[in-house]
Amino acid sequence: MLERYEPVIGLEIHAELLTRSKMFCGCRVVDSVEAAPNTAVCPVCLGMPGMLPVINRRAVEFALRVALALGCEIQPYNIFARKNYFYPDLPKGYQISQYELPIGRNGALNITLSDGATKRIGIRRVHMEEDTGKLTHLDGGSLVDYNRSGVPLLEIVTEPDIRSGEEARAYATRIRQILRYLGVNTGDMEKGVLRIEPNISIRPRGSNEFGTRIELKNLNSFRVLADGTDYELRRQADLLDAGGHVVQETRGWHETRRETFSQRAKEEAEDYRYFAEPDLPPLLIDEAWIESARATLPELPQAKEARYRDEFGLTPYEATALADDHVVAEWFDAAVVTADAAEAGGNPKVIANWILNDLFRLLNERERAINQIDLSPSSLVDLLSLVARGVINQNTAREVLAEMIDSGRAPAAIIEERGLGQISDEPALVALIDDLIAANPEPVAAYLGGKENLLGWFVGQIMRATRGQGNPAMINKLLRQRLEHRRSM
Amino acid sequence: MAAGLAYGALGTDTGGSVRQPASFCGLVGLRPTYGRVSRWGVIAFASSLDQVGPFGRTAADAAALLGVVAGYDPRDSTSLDAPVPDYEAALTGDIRGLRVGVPREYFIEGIEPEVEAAVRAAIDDLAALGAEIIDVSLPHTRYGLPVYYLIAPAEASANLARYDGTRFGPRVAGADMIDTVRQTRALFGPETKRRIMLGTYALSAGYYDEYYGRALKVRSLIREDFRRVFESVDVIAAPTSPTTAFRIGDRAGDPLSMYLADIFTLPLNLSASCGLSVPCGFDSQGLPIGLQLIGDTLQEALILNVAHAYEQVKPWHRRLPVAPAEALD
Repeated sequence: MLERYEPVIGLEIHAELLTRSKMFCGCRVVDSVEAAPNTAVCPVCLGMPGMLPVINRRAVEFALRVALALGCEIQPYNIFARKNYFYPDLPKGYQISQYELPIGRNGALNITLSDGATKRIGIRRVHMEEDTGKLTHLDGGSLVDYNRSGVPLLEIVTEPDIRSGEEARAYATRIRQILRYLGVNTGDMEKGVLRIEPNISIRPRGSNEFGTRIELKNLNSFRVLADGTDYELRRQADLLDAGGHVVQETRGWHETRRETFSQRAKEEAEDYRYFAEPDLPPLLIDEAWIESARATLPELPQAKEARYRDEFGLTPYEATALADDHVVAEWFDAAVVTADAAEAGGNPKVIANWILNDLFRLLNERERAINQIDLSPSSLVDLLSLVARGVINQNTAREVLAEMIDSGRAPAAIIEERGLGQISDEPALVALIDDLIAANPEPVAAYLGGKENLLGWFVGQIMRATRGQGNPAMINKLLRQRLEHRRSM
Repeated sequence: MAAGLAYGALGTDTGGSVRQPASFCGLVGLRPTYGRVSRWGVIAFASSLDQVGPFGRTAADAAALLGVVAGYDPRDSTSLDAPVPDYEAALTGDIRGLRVGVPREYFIEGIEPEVEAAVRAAIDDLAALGAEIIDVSLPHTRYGLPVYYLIAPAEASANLARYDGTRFGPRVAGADMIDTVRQTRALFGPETKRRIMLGTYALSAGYYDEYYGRALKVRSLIREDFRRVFESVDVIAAPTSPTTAFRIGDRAGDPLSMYLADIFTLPLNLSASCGLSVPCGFDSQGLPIGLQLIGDTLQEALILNVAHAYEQVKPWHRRLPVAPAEALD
């Protein structure tokens, strides 16, 4: 199919902004799945007559952060517009949005594909608007919950640069990751705080004209985004091959049948009759505001991944895995800083391995996230420094880590209480070794006679005597010394 | 107010609905600069034009009331964050040296001769009080009416969209959601429907540039007219309405002639000026005539003082209008 047709895909992402209050009124922003219906509403977000909107400065700052993170040009003179249409979840009969002058334009995001290749996806616009209420359809009627009405919403629109379901997924995953890094959205697609809508069309290769596009809605996971997009591309190609034509419409994804289906035909272009919102003066964003927003930007995931690879020598897999979730990445960064300051406790590579292997396994077993346990980055560093200093060995450290997570206690305390400390006390080990040598003249003679592989047997005896807590390297060294000493006697 | 049942009242002046009734009823009515008074709680008709203003029997009464309602309101983003002067203290009655502009575009064919005569006499009175009278021109005045009847209905078409029967107000249950909205909105009166249709049309794809978009451009020319004139005068004096009061229902069948009654009040609403109407005489039927005084941005105190000075020499407010017998059928 891809030999004959070129897929042309653009993505619209709607992201609610995690502000405390709504876009144009003081109502709390609540979890629209959990909260009782219509409990976070006021005359403004209910569209009562005589009410007026006031712009939430924090929402503008969040929008600014996103626009900057996506490399957009920032619009200094912002106009809000009224988008007019009737629907019961839209209390004023219009949505306050941005139309001609969105806050961000002409940005781009680089995505990494499974073969390691990088692709640039253009961002056409980022604009601010207010969310609508939520309808629940029942037999014999519909219910409206306006808790979501007026929640700040950011719309991020790409250029039609995407060519496959995989690219759509890679782009959307990256956007979600960045929104979470910026602290402006939880990324919870199930709750609808992040909504992804691809516009999909195909055209014969070499053609410059766009084909008729369909819009895919209500996709609640990245997998569905990728599968739905790929299904649509095949469906459209089959249609064209069979001499048919694509109808402009909104389609949904049927999970059990694993296919898209028509939801609503767009018979004629909707006319939203946009015009400048007369209740709001132009919103001016000056250079100082832009710079102060830029200063709040955290290190973004791509920069983190690059630093992990280039400075810490991590593999691309390790770098991506650590940077995936900003909470983990920040945790890792804090551990590295602590280790540097302490000049002990392992290099970044060692810390990374402990997080990716042991810590992740322990978290999985406990079904917890890294910020839901009582383990600080510095206590992991403490543990690793005990390993480095030979106080405990790797296996003991794994046991101690589990207990640290469960009890929140410091590693030294756990080791002391449970007697887990590795025996590195030289006089004590020498005494044990000398006893062993004295009690076993035959193996000693054999060893001294050239059977050097008997050393392992001696080590095993000492490890047994120390109940596994002897420092193996030290035991090896001391055994050799004491046995050689015997030879010279 | 005209019946003497109240000391003062508030109204909204979107196209002239404070000044014109004040003129018709022999009262002082003031339209403040847009943003001087909060619109919070005011049911919106045309948001970029709506403004609350006071009625009083005298300029002093209107000044007292304005002092109470004027000021910045953080709940109205279009309200002006400017200090509120003491409007009553500004009423010195001294207008010597004041430059009064008389715009030739406000004395046009169609204005009732008795109205023009009364207004010109009032301007002479201002000259006698020491004001300097200057001929001025507001060349885009004639576009005020068409611009207003594109912008106001366009905004109204959105502002009235919430009356869809979903959350409040009357509701006519239809076959489905769209039908319910359609039937509920059929309850609007004919003039409201006419304006919603006008506004919807002016904003429609393919017509926006030609109508609403062009109206915005002409609006800025009208605004510029006032800005330029206020470089050389302090106050503009003109009739409030081309006629005295017409009978209830007289023009209901002819919306255009009814819209024409607003031609002298509309232009300043499209600008950043303020204006008031003060009684300046009666026609031969005994119906009051209003003198319109227009001031630059936030010059409410100045126009109130001019009205006050005029009242001191021509106390028309003491004469109560008497409705002609045939109007009371």
